[in-house]
Amino acid sequence: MKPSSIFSKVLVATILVMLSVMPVVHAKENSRLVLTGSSTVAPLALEMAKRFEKSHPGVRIDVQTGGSSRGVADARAGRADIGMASRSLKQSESDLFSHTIALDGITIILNKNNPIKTLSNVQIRNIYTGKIKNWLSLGGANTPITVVNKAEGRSTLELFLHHLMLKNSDIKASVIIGDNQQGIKTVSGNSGAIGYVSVGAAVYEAEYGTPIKLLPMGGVEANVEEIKRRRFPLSRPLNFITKQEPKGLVEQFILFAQSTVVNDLIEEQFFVSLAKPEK
Amino acid sequence: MIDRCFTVVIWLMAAIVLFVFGWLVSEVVMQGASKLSWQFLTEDPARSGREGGIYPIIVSTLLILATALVIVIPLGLGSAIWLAEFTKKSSRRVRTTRLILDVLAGVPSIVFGLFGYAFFCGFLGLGFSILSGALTLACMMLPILIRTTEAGLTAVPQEWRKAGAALGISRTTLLWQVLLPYASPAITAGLLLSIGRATAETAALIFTSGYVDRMPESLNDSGRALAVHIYDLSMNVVGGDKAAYGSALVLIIMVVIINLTANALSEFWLEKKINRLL
Amino acid sequence: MSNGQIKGSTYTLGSIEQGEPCCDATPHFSINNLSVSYDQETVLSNVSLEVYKGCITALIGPSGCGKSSFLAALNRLTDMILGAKVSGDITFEGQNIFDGSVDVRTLRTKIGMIFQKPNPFPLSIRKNLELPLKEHGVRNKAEVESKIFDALQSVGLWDEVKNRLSSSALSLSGGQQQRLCIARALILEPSVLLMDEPCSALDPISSGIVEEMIQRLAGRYTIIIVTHNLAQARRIANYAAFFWMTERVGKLIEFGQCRPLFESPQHSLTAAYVSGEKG
Repeated sequence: MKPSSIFSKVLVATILVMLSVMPVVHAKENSRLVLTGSSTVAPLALEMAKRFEKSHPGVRIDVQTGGSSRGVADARAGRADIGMASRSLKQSESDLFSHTIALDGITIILNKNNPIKTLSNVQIRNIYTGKIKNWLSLGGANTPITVVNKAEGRSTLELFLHHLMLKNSDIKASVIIGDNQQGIKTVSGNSGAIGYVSVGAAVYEAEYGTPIKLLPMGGVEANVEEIKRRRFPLSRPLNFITKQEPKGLVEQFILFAQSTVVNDLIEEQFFVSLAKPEK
Repeated sequence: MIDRCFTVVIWLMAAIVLFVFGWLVSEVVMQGASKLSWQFLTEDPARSGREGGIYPIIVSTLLILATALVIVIPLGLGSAIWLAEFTKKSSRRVRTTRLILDVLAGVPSIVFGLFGYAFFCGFLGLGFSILSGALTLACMMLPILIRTTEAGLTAVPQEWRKAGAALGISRTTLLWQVLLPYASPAITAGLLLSIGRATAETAALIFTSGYVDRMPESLNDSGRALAVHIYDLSMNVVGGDKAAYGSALVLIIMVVIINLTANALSEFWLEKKINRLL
Repeated sequence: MSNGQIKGSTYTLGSIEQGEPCCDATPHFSINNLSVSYDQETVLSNVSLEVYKGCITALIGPSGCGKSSFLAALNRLTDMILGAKVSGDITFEGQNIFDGSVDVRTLRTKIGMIFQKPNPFPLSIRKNLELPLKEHGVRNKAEVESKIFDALQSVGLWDEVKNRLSSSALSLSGGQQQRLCIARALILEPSVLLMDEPCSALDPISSGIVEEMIQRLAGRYTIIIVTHNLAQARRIANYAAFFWMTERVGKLIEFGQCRPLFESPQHSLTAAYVSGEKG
């Protein structure tokens, strides 16, 4: 019996390589924050966290994703120090504390080749409930409408439904998407498609030549300035959620995220900062 | 006539597959090549991954994969050997095991992700960590590896087992000297399949190894896998497309390198142990 | 008898060649009431016979009458078949092989076995012979080399393969492969060779070479050979055992010296079978 040879050697080698790649295992610092939640907020929170870590040596902030609902749930259960949600807290969540760090707007997008210029809330509702199935009846081309909807649980969907006073079960969608980019890609590739995504994302993509167009909502143009003025009807806050009144490191980080120090990071994600630059 | 039609159809099918594959690869290469540079491979990500590099992400990916393999290889080979060599093919226990494995191999990865999140991160208290991710991946890879290895061992002619037994050669020796080396192409194929599935994995990892794109300091740290990074860049980061293609290209190159290495290792083992029919 | 070790032997195969071949009526195996069943299905029932030292005993009879099972019981190869059950006694060199104190692996070094289909390992010619040697503790390089030489010499293969010992055993012809398998069995210096139709998968010329070799080996080894080739059995065997299947259970019908069994069978079934009327 000699369980010799390559396989076991490879195994041992793998373990050794792994161990050598890993620097000394650090003792867990007690100054560690965990954030979970909205995938819309996560990239922003991650950048904020990195900047915060730089100015606060020894602090570690881990950002995880999974959607707004999970952010709220994790904050409540104590699995996360801070939850991230791209919506306001609901009635049933009023026991928690929310801290708005930025604003996001949602806009309806169409393919650039679609001649339609505006749509009323009623028209949008009829499209999304399947009562209107062709652009012809809205004065457009004779093209069937492809309805792009967000997956359930995404706060964008909830905001959209709330604004149009719809229920998710009313919606007759042709395509279900998860994220902004996926929505933009779907609409840009289908001349009959209609979808809704973050204004910031849509503005950026449209500027870089992606064939989509942003419809004004309630007579207000869809752009960053209008959201900042809080005039754009379809906008949402991006929130940090805590279980208690924030203290210590949590408070420091939230104040940091709400300060002008991170304005550039917020703008980079095409969100709108609330912090007033110091005069 | 029918033969000719059939031949044409077969060629056509192969051509379509090749075309689609070639298109896919060239798309990724064309879009991603401009992003690919030494800096991209060795720097930390900046501006949500739009700039900077993917060094910590490559390290996390390799750590997750290596840890998963360290778990999977002994468990997978052991179970496969048990199934192929120590059980009766027709017994109910074995058939049930096999059925469970086949079902597991087809379970969507998000299910593994949720299980991993609840069990490894939650119940075992490992939290978001490379270890949780690796364990979750291991659960996904095991059924594939076990079934391919088992098939490989079952395909080894029974005559050699008889010959070995009749010469008083122990099962262990026979396994190491004859059966496993002979089955090693199948084992390698299974390993590569499962590695392929693992490196492509997003859903199972985003909830287990997590989203943190910092350089991991230990297996207890959260670390972002390449597939998660690509997903995040293309889905959640406005203007992340270029970096996503760059990362995808790196992932493809990584998979190719892993494939070549595994094949070379298997070949080496095979050559060393077994003289193949030339 | 079986102390777990191969007893150091001074003879080489070469020296056997020069010894006086003998076939005498000393029992080497005494088989008593042997029955074999697979998954409760009896395939061989109540066989009793003696196998004499240095003689060739041919087992004849139609397919499926339990000859191979009988053979497999002799070196306890039946152990590796899940669901196989063997009852009765087999006394080999004075000891019951089913006795708890018997080490199967040692037993099998004393009882070599050749199969119908040549089954060299997919290794080099040299490794095919080295593997069993090393497994049983022969590691001295010079000793290994000389044993390989002797074994290959005794099957007449040395001159054919001496320049390609490290090429694959599978690159040999069928007849060469079968002779290599015999060499592989001989290298452990057994006293018995069990052969399960060793020529039936070979072409006539190879078959002739192997048959002639078996005759040369007789006298130094006790040989038990299963064969469907009656002419071959007649040519080479000293004793013959005729098996027949009744109600799907194999039984020994007649056992005796070869020539009388063929020329004046005691049993009508034997008579019918050897004359070609049945089977």
